[in-house]
Amino acid sequence: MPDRLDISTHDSSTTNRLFITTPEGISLSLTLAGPGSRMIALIIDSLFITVIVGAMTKLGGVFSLINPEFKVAFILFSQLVTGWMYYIVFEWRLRGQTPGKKLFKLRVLDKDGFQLKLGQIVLRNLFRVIDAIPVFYLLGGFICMFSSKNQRIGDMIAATVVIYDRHFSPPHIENIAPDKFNSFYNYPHLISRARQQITPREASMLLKAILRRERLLPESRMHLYDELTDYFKSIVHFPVENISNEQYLRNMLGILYLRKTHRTPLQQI
Amino acid sequence: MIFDVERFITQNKANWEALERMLDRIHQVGFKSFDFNESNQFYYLYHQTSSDLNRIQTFSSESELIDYLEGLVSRAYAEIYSIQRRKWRIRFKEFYLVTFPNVFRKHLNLFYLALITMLVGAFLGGSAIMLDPQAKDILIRFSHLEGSPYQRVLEEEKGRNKALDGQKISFSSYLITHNIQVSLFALVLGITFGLGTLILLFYNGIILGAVIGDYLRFGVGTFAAGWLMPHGAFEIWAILIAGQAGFLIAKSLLKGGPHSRITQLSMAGKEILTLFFGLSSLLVWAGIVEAFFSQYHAPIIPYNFKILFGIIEVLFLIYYFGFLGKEKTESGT
Repeated sequence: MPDRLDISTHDSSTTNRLFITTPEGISLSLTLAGPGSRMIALIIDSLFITVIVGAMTKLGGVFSLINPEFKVAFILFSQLVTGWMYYIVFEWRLRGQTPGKKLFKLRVLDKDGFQLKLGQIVLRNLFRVIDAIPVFYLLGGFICMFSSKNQRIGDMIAATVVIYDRHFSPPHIENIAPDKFNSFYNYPHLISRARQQITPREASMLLKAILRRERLLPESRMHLYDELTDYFKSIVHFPVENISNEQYLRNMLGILYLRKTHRTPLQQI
Repeated sequence: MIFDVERFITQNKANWEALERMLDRIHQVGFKSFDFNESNQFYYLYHQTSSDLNRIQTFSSESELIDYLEGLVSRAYAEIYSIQRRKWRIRFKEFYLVTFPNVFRKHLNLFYLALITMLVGAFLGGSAIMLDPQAKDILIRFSHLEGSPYQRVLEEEKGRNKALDGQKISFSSYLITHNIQVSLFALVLGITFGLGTLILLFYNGIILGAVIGDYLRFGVGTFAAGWLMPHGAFEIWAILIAGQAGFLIAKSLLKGGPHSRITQLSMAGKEILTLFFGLSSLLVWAGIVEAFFSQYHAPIIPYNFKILFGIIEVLFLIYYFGFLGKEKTESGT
């Protein structure tokens, strides 16, 4: 029997995750946003800010009716303040999202998972001035890349992180391994053995391999499914002939994830 | 080991969707719209979903489902366990009468450090000018300060300098925004373990010392005092506070203790903010004074009057930062 794979590492080893433990003892993990996506969101926000400042400059013309100096004062203050207030107002009102961040489903969060406080929002945005040096947030991006929680300097001071905030809906298993004709159900004792022996992580790996079918190149897919089939066959071998490796794996999925132990083709799923 | 994901989803989906609806409602309308039963229901759903999450984490690595449930639980967790004051009122009175002076006093030694740095720079700048007048070209590079001070004094006294007519509001706005930016920069440079802040304060000191030294050299010290003191009192104090805040950042990074550097830094965050807003207020006043008052010289406004004005300002600052708001903290916890 070949060595069982050690799949103890989390499969998404490329993404950086933030771990929070709730008082109920549940541990949550949130995906931290990397410097790349943050940079793009920032570019979008900068564009918006430029537009707003431009609009305010035009608007300042109104003030010149009262006194031309008010126009200058208005423009100077709005230039200084808009850069901060855009971020502060949006992150406060939209719960940690600016339009740019919203577009890319990013969100600012307190690093312990709590609600964002206004002081944190102000701090992290005031420190943009140092994150932005020398140009284009080079310093901030650099630090973000190497920080354990993907924080730039402003985040570190404000104890905030930026997460990738996707809302998932529960996946539908029925679509993946339709139970219509699964020859494995002829071998209930092998089914029990398979369910006993195969760990949840192995099962999950199998599920992913099938779910990602379309994302694989045909050659790689075949190679992967061959390997997986050999692997699972080494644990439990179902003596069915004339089915492709992919079908073998789909049948495997069916017996692992769907409840029924006997084949009942006439019964509604 | 087999975990019936399908049944798990079918059984519990209704709860999760209910929790999601409640969360959406909280985000839109707020907790206050919930009555007692609904709040209980929310708490129950949070617990139920948490334990569902726990089960699936134990028995399966179904990452998409886990992500979904984690998303729900973390959103609900944030709502339940945060201290949230949605109605945020700006408490100016408390800020200016209590918070700001007390934070200042708490880090008084850092203020002194900033002061000493600037004084050393000023001494060096002044000495350099006095000993080697050629140094002026290197040290003082501002166009409006070039030329002989003596000449300038003569011009001003004859009332020939009309440069600021009709421009005072713009000028004061420019001064305020510019000074705030410079102070902010001095503050954030604190993350260079204080080196950047130190250099900036020192540099400002040199320039200040050089300008004063220049005027002293020409024997027009009184003019200089009358010109600089009215706005300088507040402006220099504000820059020193910016340095103080920068050193506070440096201190948080450097000191030992049970927390990581980053955590220590974030613990000082609120005080840093306090100092920044406080010094910005000082700069607003300084900007107004500089544009509307400092530029008027004798005989329009006698020098002694302006010097007295400056002295009164300094005394006020000493009183404000030295004594205001003190009793309240001593009687508190």
